[in-house]
Amino acid sequence: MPNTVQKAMRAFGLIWLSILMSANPAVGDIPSVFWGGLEPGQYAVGFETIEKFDYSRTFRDKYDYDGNLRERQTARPIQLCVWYPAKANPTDRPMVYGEYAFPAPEDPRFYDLLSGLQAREANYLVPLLGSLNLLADMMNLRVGATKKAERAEGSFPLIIYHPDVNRAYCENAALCEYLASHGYIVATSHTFGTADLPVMVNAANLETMVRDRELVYGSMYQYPHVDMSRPAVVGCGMGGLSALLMQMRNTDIEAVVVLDGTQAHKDGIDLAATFPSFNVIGADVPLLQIYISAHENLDLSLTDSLLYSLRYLAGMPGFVSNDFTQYTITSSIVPDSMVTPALGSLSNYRTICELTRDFLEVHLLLKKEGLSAGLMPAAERKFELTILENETAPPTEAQFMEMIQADRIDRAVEIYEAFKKSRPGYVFFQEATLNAAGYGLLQANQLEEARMIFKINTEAFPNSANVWDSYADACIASGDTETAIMCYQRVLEVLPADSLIDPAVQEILLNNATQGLQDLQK
Amino acid sequence: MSGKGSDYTRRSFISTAATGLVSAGLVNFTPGKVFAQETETPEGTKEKKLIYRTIGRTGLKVPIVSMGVMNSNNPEIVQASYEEGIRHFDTAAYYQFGRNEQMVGSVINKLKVRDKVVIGTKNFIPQQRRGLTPEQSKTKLIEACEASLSRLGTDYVDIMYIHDVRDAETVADQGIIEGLKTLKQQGKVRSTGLATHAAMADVINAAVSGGFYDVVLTAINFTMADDAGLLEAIKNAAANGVGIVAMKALAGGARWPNPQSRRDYTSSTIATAALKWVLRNESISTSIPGYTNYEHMREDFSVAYNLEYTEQEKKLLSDNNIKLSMGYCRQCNKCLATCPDGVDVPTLMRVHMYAAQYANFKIARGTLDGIPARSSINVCRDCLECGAQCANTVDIARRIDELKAMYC
Repeated sequence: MPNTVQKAMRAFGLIWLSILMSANPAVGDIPSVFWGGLEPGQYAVGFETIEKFDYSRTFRDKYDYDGNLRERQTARPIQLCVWYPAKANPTDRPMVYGEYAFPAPEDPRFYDLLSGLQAREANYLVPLLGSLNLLADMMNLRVGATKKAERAEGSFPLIIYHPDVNRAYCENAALCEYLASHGYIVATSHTFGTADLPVMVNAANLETMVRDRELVYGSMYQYPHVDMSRPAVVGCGMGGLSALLMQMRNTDIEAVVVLDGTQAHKDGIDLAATFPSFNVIGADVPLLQIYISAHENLDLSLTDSLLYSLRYLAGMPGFVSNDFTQYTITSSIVPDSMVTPALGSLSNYRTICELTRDFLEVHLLLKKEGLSAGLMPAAERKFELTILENETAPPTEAQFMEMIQADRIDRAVEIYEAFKKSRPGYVFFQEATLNAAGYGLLQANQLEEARMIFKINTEAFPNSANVWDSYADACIASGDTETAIMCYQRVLEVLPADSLIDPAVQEILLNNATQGLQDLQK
Repeated sequence: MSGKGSDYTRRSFISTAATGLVSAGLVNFTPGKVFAQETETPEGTKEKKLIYRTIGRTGLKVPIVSMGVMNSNNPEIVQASYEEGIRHFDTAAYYQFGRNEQMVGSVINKLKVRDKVVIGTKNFIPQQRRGLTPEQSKTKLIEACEASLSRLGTDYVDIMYIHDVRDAETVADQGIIEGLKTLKQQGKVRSTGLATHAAMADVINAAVSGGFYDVVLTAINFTMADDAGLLEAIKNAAANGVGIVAMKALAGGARWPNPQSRRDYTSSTIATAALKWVLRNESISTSIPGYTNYEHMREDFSVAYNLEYTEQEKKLLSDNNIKLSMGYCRQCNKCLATCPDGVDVPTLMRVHMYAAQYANFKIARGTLDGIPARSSINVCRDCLECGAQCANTVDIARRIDELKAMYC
């Protein structure tokens, strides 16, 4: 992982460059309405879908209530939706929004699912637009991608997009197209519930959201022109939480963008905190969180807790939820009399897209040293930007043990001591794992190294009789009688309260310490 | 003249102004007319020949039974229809929010048969064209049609209809005409059309006198046999090279209309009788019955080989009770003036047809939502004696009651 602290610090010393200045002239004919004035990159945009079934999970019942076998596919259907950099071709016909709302499948078994999802999207759009005829206009709106356009040459980083609950996968198609135009492959899939289309906000559906996107991620390994060495995740609403959780359990992912995240609200925080794979140590990559700073339920405590991540917190005053999705584009197709603040503004959406791209250029493409907005004088910014530097993350147990097994005991002790100071009481290894490592060293006759490891274990688990007993073994082997006596005395002190060992072992330890003290004190 | 070059012996359609129910059903029972033709194969067996007709001056020659795709949500049935012999598929931008066009396009592209089929689609519903200047109308129509091409995955459509035209003013709308002319010049639209299920005679006559539109897709079925104005308009259109394509030929889903017909006739008889009644009118080039399963597809397409009535079909078409019980709303708008609350009864009757007969609840909901609040279902006061009167046989009060049960 790049040293994100250093990168962030350098960022403040550089001259701010406008991201608009760095944008390449358009090659493709990008529709101004759908992009809301965003500057296109050097590529045209292609779009395609790929249908797969996840046979590890069922979506439909195998039998009906009476036990009759149903003749239908039970596996979970996943339609990958991919935007990619393409070659511009004047004869290509750009898609219309309706083709996003219903991405016609090659596999007819997907028809019912996609029809239902299209209806869900239409049901969302009609009240937003205020009339049915505007929905027809919306469905006819020309977008920036061409279906199955010829791919551009090159190798492009992968972005996995996580849509919000009960929203279409294409809720941010304009952002996805914009990123593809600038040299990213963006992949996502539809969000629907574990066993039905609606998504209730709960842990089971959150896990489903993460797993769906993990399947997309895994499937992209075979995708042409993809550079899997530097993937990132972007999510909106609850999709932001899903994106963060996916990163926490995938160490390959290099950056996270959270748009209007559920994780900035109490309900989302409660859900995340109890989620089995929620792992603060895993969140050790740069994070951009863009949120409504005036939101009544704003709570940034979860983001604050991500100590090992370099966090860019961009608080948007006066923004509304639709500013975080391309639904704000609807404001440009409805008559002035029907435009309401709830529809959001195109300039706000543009800010979000540009900030996202800028962040990815810094942390994924490594094109720039710092976030452009971070280099602007605060007075010139239209939003509040806070940069929270990351602390160095502790090693995982596997990393720590790897160090010990590689005879880098001094380094292991150094790291342990550093974290003992910075985070007293925090332990990143299990007692038994380290104990076993200590005996391994003892058997190899690396007496001093064994003593160092056992000593660490006694510091980490001072109330464990067993670790004191082990440390005593190493001290005796190395001839340090004085320390060995102290260890046995500690065994006898902590043993009565050490409820984690069974009575038989307790008796052995008692006898061992008693006998040891007698022998050593002779 | 419609029907030139068709594969069976033709006689002129007896356009009748008959108003009696029996005469309505018996139109074209004339002895001696040949509505099916058999050929002998080298092996000596007899094969029925598919009946083709040409859609007016478009020159498009298609089997007399086509597919109305509107209610279908299954690409496999579109494919099966092609394999069955159907060559004309009718869809619309509005159906399933564009999904219907995508489905048609994806099947045709998958089969690689674009040059072998006729695609008709419709655009620019009344709500979309309302209140526009001619220039706005032209621009928006072109955008909408190009969006249809994208969804269909094709460079051109054979017939581009203006959707749901209800008056002669729309037929003469210069913004729309200019838009369609541009699309024609660009090769994106090969023929232009109007789709109408209200004031059909006026729309057809306006299309003929205007001289611009090539095709009219009109509602026509056996319950309208006494509508001399419409039948004359159809005849006149065909004589002037304006192709007539029939919709609502099954009177709004004749397979499941009411207990009366189900008791006495099979659904197959109702469907084939209704279709034959329409297609025995040689001024009508083809019809677009909607179906959603294979059985109905085969039933409907069987008519394309044989327009001779069976005895049961004759009996059904002569049965006064059937026509009375069908209660097909012709969208004549005569009821509008009879409702004291100004409820848009004709559109509500369409909503009822979509929901109760087509079981297409999405388009029913969409149509209902398209009615302005001031004249929609909630304005209806449940008058004890409903003042709204149908000039034909529609039980308006009962249908509005049923709609209220569904939507209020």
